[in-house]
Amino acid sequence: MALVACLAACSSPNKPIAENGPASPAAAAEMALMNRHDSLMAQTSQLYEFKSKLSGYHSQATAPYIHGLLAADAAMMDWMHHYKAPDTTAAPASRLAYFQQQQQVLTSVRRQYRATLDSAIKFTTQHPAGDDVAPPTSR
Amino acid sequence: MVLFNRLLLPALAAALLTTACTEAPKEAVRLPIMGERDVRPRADGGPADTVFATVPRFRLVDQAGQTITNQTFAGRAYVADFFFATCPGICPKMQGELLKVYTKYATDPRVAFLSHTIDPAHDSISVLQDYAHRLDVRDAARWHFATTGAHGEPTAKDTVFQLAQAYFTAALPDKQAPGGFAHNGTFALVDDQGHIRGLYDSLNPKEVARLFTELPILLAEIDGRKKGVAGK
Repeated sequence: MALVACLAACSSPNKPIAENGPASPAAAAEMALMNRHDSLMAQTSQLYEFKSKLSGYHSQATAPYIHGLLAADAAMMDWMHHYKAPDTTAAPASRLAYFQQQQQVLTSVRRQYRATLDSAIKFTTQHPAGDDVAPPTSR
Repeated sequence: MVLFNRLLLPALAAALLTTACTEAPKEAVRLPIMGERDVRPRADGGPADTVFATVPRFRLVDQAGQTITNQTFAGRAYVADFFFATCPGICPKMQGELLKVYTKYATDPRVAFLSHTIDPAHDSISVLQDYAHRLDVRDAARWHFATTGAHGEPTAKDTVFQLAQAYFTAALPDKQAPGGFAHNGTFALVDDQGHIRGLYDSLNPKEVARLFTELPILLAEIDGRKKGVAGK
């Protein structure tokens, strides 16, 4: 029941800081981290849209692109599974340090997302139809 | 005759008008059916049939280990969303809002809830069971926390993302579809025939209030349909 109460009562990380009162540096860092996380998760759908699209080419030429998309997703999920927000009773400085460090990890994941999505977009733009792709043996 | 014209005619007209206004058949408020529709001419030359988009066919396993399909929700309305157990971002807020709706309808058999995990590799049946218990959801038949990967299916994640996309593209014409369906905090209200009747942003209190307002409208429509069938 405690979780139920918490879920119902907890304020949105998306709320402007002014609505929740002035945020501490740690709270602001946590909010920024959650926003980054949500923004990346929204792009995860895109990873799978492109994976599905590339799988439809039935060509080995798409393998590195699919591998890149899956690696980006795995990096995100790995972050998620290991993320553990420090207790609110922890020292503010250590909370801030944790959120800042996690932000760096997510910045790296975001770069990976961007790079792999850009590659997939480029490939599918260059080969709008699956049958355009030459099989690797003919290269 | 003058008296008739001056006094009785207006009275008669007013009476007729009043009767007409009060006795006109009332048009029940109905929620729109969202998404694309297909108009199919009939072979017999009769009026064309309009076929509305429905949610795609699915086969999932819930926190009780039960297989659930579209048929599980036949004859009922349900609210669907997408989440994952380790999500530190919008999911706790989103599930907190859905919990409010669930609490109101916890004993109403006309409504069910379906939360799909988008992390099937991590969210096993036991993880989903634990998640449900932490929300104090004890009856899996009322609120299903479901996975596409109960049996280690290698394409489980592809399946759930395709499902999410299909849910929301079934509801929105392509040009309106915002993308990021699986993690944008949207609730979908689905009717007893698999049509999407409303989309609600769980992070916006006004939208959640709209769900509270519109769910009874849908239930009244479903009740009416059942009475119609029973009366035949």
